Amino acid sequence: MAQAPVGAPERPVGEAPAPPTPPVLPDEANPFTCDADEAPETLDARRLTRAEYLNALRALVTHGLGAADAAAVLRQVDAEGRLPPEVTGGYSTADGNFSVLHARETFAIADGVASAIGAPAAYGRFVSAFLALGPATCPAPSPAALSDACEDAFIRNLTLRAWGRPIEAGAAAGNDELAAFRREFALAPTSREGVEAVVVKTLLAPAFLFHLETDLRPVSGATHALSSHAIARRLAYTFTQAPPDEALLGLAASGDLQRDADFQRALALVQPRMGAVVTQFSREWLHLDGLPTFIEQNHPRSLRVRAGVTLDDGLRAAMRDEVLELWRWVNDSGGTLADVFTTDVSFARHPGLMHVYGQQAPAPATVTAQTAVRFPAGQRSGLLTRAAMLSSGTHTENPILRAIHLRRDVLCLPTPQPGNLPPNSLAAPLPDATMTTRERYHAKTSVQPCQGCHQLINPLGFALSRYDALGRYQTTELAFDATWNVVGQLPVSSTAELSGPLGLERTVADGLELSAVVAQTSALRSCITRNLSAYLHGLQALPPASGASCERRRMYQSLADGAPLRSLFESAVLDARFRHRTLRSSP
Amino acid sequence: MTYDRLSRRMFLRGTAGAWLSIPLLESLVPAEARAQGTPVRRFISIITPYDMGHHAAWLPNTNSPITNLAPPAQVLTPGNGHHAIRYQPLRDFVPTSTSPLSLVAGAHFNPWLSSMTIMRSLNHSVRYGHGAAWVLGGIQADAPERGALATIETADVVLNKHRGFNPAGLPHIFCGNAGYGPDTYSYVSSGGPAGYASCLGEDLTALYNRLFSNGALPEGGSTTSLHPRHDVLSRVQEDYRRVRNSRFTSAADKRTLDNALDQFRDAQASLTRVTTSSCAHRTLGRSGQVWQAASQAAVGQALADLVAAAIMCDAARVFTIGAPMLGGTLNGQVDQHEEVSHVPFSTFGGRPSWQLTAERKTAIARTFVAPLLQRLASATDPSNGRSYLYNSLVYFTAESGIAHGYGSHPVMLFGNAGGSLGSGHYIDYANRAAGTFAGGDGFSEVVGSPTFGNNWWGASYNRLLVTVLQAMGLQPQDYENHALNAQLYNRTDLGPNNRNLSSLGGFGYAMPRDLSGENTSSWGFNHYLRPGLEGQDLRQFRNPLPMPPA
Repeated sequence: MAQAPVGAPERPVGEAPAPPTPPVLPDEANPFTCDADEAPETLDARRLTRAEYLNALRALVTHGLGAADAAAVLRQVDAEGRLPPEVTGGYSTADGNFSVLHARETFAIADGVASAIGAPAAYGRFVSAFLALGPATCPAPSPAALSDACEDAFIRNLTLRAWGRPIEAGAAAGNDELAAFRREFALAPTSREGVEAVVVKTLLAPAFLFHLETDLRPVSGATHALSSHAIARRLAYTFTQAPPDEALLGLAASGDLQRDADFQRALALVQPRMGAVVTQFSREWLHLDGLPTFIEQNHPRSLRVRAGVTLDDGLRAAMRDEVLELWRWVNDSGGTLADVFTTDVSFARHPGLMHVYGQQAPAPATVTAQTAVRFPAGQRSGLLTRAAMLSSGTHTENPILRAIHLRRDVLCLPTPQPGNLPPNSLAAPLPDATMTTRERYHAKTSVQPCQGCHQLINPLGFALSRYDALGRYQTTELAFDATWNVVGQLPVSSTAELSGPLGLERTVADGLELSAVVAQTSALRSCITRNLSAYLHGLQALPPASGASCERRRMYQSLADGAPLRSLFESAVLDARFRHRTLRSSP
Repeated sequence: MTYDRLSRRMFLRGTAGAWLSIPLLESLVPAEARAQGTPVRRFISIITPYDMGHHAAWLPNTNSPITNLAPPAQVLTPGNGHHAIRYQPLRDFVPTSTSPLSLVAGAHFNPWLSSMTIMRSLNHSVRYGHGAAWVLGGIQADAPERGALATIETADVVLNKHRGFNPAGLPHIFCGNAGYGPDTYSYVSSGGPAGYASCLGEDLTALYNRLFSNGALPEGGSTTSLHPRHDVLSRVQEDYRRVRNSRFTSAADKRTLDNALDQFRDAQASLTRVTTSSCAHRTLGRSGQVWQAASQAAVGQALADLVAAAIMCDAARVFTIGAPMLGGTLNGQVDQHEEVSHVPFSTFGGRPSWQLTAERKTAIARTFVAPLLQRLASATDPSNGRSYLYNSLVYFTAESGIAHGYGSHPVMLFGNAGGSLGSGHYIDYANRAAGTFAGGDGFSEVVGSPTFGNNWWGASYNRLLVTVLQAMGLQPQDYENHALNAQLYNRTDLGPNNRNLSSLGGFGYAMPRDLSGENTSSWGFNHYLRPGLEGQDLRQFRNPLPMPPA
């Protein structure tokens, strides 16, 4: 049973929550407005997410040691296992908290990485790799005994790749970082120990652990322009969850990313890797890491439903990854949001998932329109009909949970929480040889105090009745008696009226028709806009469904215009405000 | 400070005194170094009363089944007919260093999450209590239901008497008073072996004198050393201060950087380690009574000091701290046991009784358990160069999970028993296919709250004791007694899992109640005993608990 939030007043047992106002879909017109005087974001310091930190660490060590040895070093220090998880319940970007666990673990990782780099087999390679980046003042480096010029070159090159910006030098900036780093070499008895200390400091620096834009130029009032490096860094982390690569760093050094032409060139450099943000966002938005584990595997109904499929974490991961690849494929192939909800292309390669889909051949390693494996006509289409959105983890499909996921998470429609209900209110309905799963759930929820809310919920799940507990397509389902013996088969109905849940005078025949309807709703456009905005800016809660926001207006309009999916993500950065920061000196 | 890498390497082989006792960084120690030295193991059980009524207060953040948690739990499939087990890293439940892990733990154990294990759904097969004896596998001395059953030694006693575990025959240290001390052990009352009959009671001076031979035990020195990059971390903090005070930082940036600075400072503090190659005890405080430990931090810390010093001096290897640590009444007004613990939904001073009992446990966690863990984690055991906490097993628990019921005994473990056990997880031994039960005490049924009882059929509690004994190096032949559970052999009325058993093995009673006189059609048998037995899979009784990889 779901627990009430701490401190929430409890309703007496058995008393139903007040049914919500019947949902009204947002007006077809763009609900967001743009005020020309809207200030740029504050961009206050925020800790890198786990994914960003690990990517940045991997990129830096790879630069010095190559991919294979870098992977070995990160395994040795257990970088992935050490980092605390992000707080659940919101987007990973919203957890900017830096706890003592972060301090301890990032120190342990930096310590371990520095020690690995200082090992004889790695030290010379690592130092030489960074010194090879120039400048000419360190023409013949000897890693064993670095000259002052080579120490400087090493510091500058290392920190530029780690932080995405040049290290500050000289007292004029008020933060002579170079002098502080030179000191490590002065204190260390050997160059090797100096390099290790510099690596530790680089990996623990605010510029590495945090999104912290301090390379700014005042424009007017509190508005400051980001440097080219700051823009490049922001672009890279926004779209690739990683620091800028060499090409982008080169463009930041040679161009002026405040100028539209150079900015577009920079955008073009990160576009090929934009799939990272598409998949990470969809993964978090749809809670794909929270797919239910498979329980009750030996339940008599489970044994019939699974029918040879091994239910394990590998299958769960395959379900998740198939949806992530769906999003990435639509983005990379220039598709639209509607394609996400309607494409019949399968990405299943895992034997268990292929079994669920009744698919004979695995999806090719590289899916194209020509090579794609497609579902049989009329059986399955886009996102809503994939196993990841359907699997219940138990012996029976749960139309209520399917509907709530669609209604609350995908469409951002108000979804009432059940109150302090009598025992077993939320348990699955008992077996009945004469009723389908849909009918059993309908019977259970069509009584008071349940009916008021469930009329707004159930039809969305009932439309997906052609998919069983694992997401397999079905036109009939097994009928079980009270002790879970199979006693026959019952035809499945997936017809559903959408007037209750969506306010549309429309009947859909199945999940495919439901998907087509959902893909065109302004509720979906608004919901994805609000969620993407929350993800990109690390908001603790979804922004309002309407109101002033130039960014959200562009995002929504991109979807309303049927533009390619990548335009949705690009529309977050196209405004000049993306290249500025509002610096508030007081809370 | 400079650092000679060779000297660290030498220390890792156990040949020199240096730092490196930090559990946090132990995975960085080369595997070949970790294997050096045979660990000296210790077992410390801290058994408290007064938590009957709400085992969930011990569980991480929630009373929901672990499968409802997000991110989802991982699944361990032991095979051999054992049901699947769900587990999840404890860190998942503690997003910040100040986040409470559970109602009982608060945030007091957060520094040692990687060394900690919380278990759920370890069930007894009969309603039980009071006292420490039940918890360690025995029968209460005056329990009327024990009938004709033999009295047995508890796990702590078996351990202390085992000469592989305790070759020098060091004394078994009891702390406790009436009702929660050794007087609850049947074999003591019935004339157990010498050395166990006298209870140390509650006086810290008496405890000191027993441990350290009235102060005559020789002392050795201790040294303090720093992590080799301790000074680099100081300069990292300077970097944060400089950025914080630079020109283009907002007020929010400054707050973020100030916070990071604080966290690095705290992290750095934990990098200072005391390396103990011998013991120090003469300056320890020893005034106070054990029962004051929960309410007076100084007494709690003194008790922790005494136990930790005894371990470092190798004055004892088994500690059974079964004292109430609280007075028998709440604020001197009501009987804490009968009028608070037994009525968890009543209120006292306007607050639910179950919250008050949990808070009493939190006080013990704060004033005694956490200081003890701190001392054990921050000192190096010269036997193998690992921390004393790593080499030990600290078991923090209560006498029952829910008002004498058999469901979900609270289990918090700390340490790794010298590497025998993994740690860092919340493990739910619930057997999801078998479902839930009310608690077996006739209590939660009355309350009718599904979130309050929420007991799942899971694994036999006694398997925890098997796990402990094996982790400490004992073999089944050291503790198994075929005759002990003979009353359960060759029966057909104890559930489908337990038909026609010819032996059980394992440790202790599977049913610590004499069934010979039971009318198997009686209400009591069917209400209390049969469900408790049917819910167990006694075929697994001899096996240690499956645990996730470290």
